[in-house]
Amino acid sequence: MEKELIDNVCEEKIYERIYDNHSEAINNYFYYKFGDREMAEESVQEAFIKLWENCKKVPFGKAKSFLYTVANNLSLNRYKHKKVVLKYANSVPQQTQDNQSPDYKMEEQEFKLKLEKAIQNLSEKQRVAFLLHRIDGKSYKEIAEILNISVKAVEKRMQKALESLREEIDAFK
Amino acid sequence: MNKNYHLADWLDNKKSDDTLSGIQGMDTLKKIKQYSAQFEKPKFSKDEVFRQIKNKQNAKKSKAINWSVAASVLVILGVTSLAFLFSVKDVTSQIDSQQHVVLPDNSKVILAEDSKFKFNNWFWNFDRTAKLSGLAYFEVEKGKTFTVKTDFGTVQVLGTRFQVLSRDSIFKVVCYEGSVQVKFEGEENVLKKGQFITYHNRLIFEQSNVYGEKPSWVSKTHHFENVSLSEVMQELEKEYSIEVDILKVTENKRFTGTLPSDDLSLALEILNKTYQMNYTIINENKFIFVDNVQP
Repeated sequence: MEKELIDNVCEEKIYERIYDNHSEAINNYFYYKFGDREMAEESVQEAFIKLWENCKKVPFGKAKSFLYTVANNLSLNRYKHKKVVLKYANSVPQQTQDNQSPDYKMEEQEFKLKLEKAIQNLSEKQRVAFLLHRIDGKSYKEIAEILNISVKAVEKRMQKALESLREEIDAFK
Repeated sequence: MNKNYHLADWLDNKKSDDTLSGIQGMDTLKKIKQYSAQFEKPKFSKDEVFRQIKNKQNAKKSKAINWSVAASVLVILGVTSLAFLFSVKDVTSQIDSQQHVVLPDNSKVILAEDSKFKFNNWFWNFDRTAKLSGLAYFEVEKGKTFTVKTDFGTVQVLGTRFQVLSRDSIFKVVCYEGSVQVKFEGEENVLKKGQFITYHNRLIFEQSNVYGEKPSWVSKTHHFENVSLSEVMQELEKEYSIEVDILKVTENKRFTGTLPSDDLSLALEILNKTYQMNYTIINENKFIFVDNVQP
């Protein structure tokens, strides 16, 4: 009985827990893809409403993949791709605290800008995989699940992403 | 093909920096790894979005209820309108004959030739509204408002006798008893007994008095009130498509009375007696009258 209860996504508590665990990742995934905050949040909404409507058919264990499947199938043609704008955290502990000459700071600032621009110019597939790993800290396995591809394919995307980023950044040197 | 993606492994901390020595642009790669970990997560209004999801869930629920209500309303409407449709009676008189219709409340309608009358049999007692195109005479039982709609105007009565003509561009209403309200192009007129109103091409054409209890085409009679013989004869000529010569008749009195409009010989007989005259039939359609010389 207990297990059945846990399995039931229609249960408010369970549903909320699923939202708590996955909503942000889905949101970020869509943000990395399209660069549109509004659209990302709307996708989260739609995916979770679909989950609620199908709560009797979706066991707890399948909820995550259901959400991503729905999200991937949403018709998002009405949205235009925007630039993915990212922000550097202010409170990052500086590894090179002792080495903060003005020159260094300027160089760092310059690099950060170049990196952001280079990320914007990545292909959608590479960018999504790269940012899920770097920002959301998803493992390659998790990314593979989200994108519904193999881990090897994720590794390939990461490899390609790194190569393109380096090439673009070094090209402006 | 089992390719190794060293950079991917390195980025995922599965390989140390040393294993990649010799790879082009290692400095830049290191920086990419370092700084790309410093990005903030995109903004996400987690609670707000959840609230919206809840709202939409509720909206969907209430929508579902509304749908079932809407569905039953539709079914009821459907059944009623079917009943309504099936109970609509359409009466059309032939081009050469009149037709009598008795409505559920015993009101009588006489359709003149080539006329169309439509009413709802089942709902008649709730809504006494009928449609007419052509010419009809009504004898309406007292009760709720009785409405006759035509292409031109609407006639409303409570209980009375009246005639409506709505054909081509002519809309004519004659009141034979009680009073009749005529609505035409936002204009209202009330007719009293013996009055009629005619609209022609959307303009009031004439409004004056009639005599008689019923239209002549209904009673098959023609009523005359204090008219000269020549006027009576003119009417007969029109009615029976005949030609009459009364030049030799002494016109000494005016005529008040009723003549049949479907029996020429009877009509002529009545006139003969009244005016003491005689007629000679020239041919089927021509009659010459002369004074009846008493022997």
